[in-house]
Amino acid sequence: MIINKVALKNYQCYYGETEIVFGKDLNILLGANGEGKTKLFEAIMWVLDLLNKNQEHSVASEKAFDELEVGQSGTTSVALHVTREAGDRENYIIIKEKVFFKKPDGGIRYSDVEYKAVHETLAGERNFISDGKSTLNDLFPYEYRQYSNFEGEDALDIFDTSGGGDDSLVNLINLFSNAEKIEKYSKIFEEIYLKAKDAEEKASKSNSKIEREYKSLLSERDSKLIAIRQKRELQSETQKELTNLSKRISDFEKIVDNNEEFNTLNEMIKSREDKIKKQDLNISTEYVDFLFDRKWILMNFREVLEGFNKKYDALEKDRRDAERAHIQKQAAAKALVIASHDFTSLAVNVPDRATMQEMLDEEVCKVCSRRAEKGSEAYEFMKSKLEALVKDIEQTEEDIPELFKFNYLAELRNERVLFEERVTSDIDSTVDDIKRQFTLNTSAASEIKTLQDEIDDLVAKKSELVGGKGKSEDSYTSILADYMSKLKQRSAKEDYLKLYTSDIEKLKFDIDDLESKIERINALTGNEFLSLSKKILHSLSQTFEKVKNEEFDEILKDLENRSNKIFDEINVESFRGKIKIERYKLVSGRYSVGVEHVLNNGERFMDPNKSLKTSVNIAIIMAVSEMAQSKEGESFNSYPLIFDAPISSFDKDKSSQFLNMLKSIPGQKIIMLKDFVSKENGVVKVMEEFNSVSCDSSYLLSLKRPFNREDLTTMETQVRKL
Amino acid sequence: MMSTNNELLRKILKHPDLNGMFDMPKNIEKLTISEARVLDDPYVSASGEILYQLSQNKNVNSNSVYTTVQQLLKTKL
Amino acid sequence: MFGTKSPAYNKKYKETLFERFTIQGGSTEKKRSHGAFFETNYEFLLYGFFIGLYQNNRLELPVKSEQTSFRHEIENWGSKRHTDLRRDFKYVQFALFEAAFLNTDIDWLRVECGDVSIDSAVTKLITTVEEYANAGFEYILEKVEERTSTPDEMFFLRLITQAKK
Repeated sequence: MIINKVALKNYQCYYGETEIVFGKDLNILLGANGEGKTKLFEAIMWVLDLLNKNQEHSVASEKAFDELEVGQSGTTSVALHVTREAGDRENYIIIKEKVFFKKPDGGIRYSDVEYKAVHETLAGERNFISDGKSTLNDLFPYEYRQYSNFEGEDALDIFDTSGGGDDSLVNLINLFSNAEKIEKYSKIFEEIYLKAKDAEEKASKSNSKIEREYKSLLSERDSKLIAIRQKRELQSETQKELTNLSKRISDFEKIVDNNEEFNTLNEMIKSREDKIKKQDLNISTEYVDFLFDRKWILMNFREVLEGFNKKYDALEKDRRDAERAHIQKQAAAKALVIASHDFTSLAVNVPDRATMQEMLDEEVCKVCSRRAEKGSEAYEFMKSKLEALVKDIEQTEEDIPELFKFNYLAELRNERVLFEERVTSDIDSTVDDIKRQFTLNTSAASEIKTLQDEIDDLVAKKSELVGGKGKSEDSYTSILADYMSKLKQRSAKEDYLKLYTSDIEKLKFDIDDLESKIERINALTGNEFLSLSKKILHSLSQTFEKVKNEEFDEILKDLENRSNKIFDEINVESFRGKIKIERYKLVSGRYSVGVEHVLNNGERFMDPNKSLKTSVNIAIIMAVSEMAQSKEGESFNSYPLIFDAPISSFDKDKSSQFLNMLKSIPGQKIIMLKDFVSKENGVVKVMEEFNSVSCDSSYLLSLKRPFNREDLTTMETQVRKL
Repeated sequence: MMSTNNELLRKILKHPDLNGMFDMPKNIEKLTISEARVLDDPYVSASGEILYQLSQNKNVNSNSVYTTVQQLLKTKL
Repeated sequence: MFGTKSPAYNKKYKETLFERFTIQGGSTEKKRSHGAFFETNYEFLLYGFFIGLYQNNRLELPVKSEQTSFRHEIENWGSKRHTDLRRDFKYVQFALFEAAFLNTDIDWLRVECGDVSIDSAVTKLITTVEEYANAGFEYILEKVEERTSTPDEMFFLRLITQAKK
């Protein structure tokens, strides 16, 4: 079957109608992460009915839903236009559809899923088929469909047998070879032999001579055979459980591996967030508060301060002057009064105090020019007058009324000095202080921006890590808890297996012993014909078993050779080792197929890097597909292989090589790639290297810009043919 | 790569395990199932018959094959 | 004595400026996010005063009926003992005084004599304060109304740094 076209309508980020046409060979869809690649892959899986329950989700385009009024409806559909073979004119269209409604509360409601099909005959008729699913199964049977798709690199790892083996490869091989048929034949051979054996024993049993002993031998042997069968069943059940467990455990281990990275990212994010908090504290923009607290409000106050000082000093001076003048005036007035009061007998010129003191000292009265010796009456008279005068003056001084009742200015003096001390240096440094604060703020802000950018990068990495596995962050914790219990379960089951094995060994031993006893009796008493025919059939059965195994080994060898050829083509330049595919016996006695990656000397290739591992898996898938093409005896249709980002760990050169190699392998291949795409300044571009890749059709898937990841209605993927 | 039923027949008969149990038919390289089932040797005819039965019917039942083969062998032994 | 006074201002500024830009009651966070950066009324009054002072603009207050006041004596201004985040800024009290003193015409000698009552002198000082503040508010209001967006802290800072004669 070939997919000629896929048509999407309102499927998630594919708003409206989108059509992509495919060629019969290699088809490449390019897209950066998160721009719609995987959604396209899912859309195809959806219409192929290959999504499991957890993956089913709301399929409607957010934008289309947003445009609805309450009560209106829209349709989401994915249609595959296919033909059985390339170039056929008889077309089939398989359509999977869901209708969505807008409820009164604004929520969404879906109708049930509808699978339809259209058959366009050669005559040009269009027949509508209501059961699209059966058409799908007819065109693309489930056994092939389930192995046709690979999501992500790890999904390719279906052949990992380290966990105890997986049947996927066996199933694939059975699909594409006649191994199953041979297996069936072998079973029949075995059954025929057993019937012959049975017949012989029945005949011997009826020989009365040894009846009882024979019968008891037979029944003992039979019950032991039953016991072995039971144990083998238990074994194979346990083996299956172990295989599942091991798979889960290795899944867990992948996550635990990632968990370290996850934890590291978390730590890095947290430390940056803490740094941001610290820097935030450094930023202060409370400028209004600073006006007061840091005295910025006094920035132009210098003039006022100096003006005030000048005025104050002037006032103080005036005050002192006024006071002095006042006292002088008053003193002078008072002196006049005294003088005129007591010295009427003396001359008009009233001697002042100094003069009087002089007169006493010289013992002469300068008024009347008479001598006045100490002790004389005249002297005493002068002395008393002087004393009286002094007393008067003092009194006068005391009597002078105060000019100033208050002295506010003096009160201010202290205040003013203190104030000036406190603010003067601040006034001058205000401008610098403001500048400094701004510088601090700016540098803290830019530091914060850098840290925030780093955090954004780390968060993106984190969600890639988590999102790539489709799990949420919270489930990690419960997954880890699960992991521990699974480890315990595994070791318990391994113990059981060992027990069963040893039981079976014992039983086998007993049975062999019994069988030889039975044979001896048969030889003595048995029916010759039955014995002979049993012998022949036994040989044939054993021989056929070996032939079967040899056939199978040949198929494996063929597969191994083809795989290695492709493997070599993918990895032309590097040291790569070889693929070994072998049959090995499981504990339960069944056979399974193991894939090993080995060095040329046969030793295991230790720790291959991811891209090498991926190429091992791809080589095998390609080889199986190639074998399927050459299967004889049936008109075999090839089926498309669909890959989502299978080679992301490859470097660019290897990618081009790989893609060119793919083209040479028969069958339709559809690949979604994130390689060859670059994002610059929000613009998505296809890299030049892609020009050297040859393919039937190629497209670029990118989101319409601008978009906002918080608002799904803006996330719209556009498809551009390249 | 995958053997046809005729090729399977030849592989069985030529297998070392059966060496000496019977005389190898002269035209073994070209021997077909239909030819083998009517030959005299029990090994050869039994193999032929079984494979013939298997190739005739996809859902063949071991009982019916057994019965047929036993009948055949009765005539050859 | 100066300290015991509480200056008055034009009622019309009460709503337009005071209530808008001061946080009186109500949560600090909420108010800050709405553009109120001055913690108290007097801070805003001081701000208006200094704007007027630096621009050397005075504007007479309207009649008493158009005036209002907040009861917060000058001597208590700048005391922040109850907050961790702010500092004391009592120095503003004296700065206010100095500015008022410088720009008020009072015959101090007569006051000291007792001819003129200290009361009336202080009243005159307060009037000076009020008048500078008044002019300041007028200017602030004008600038606020000119803006299309809510004034932020930078606005207030810039306003006063650019206030010159």
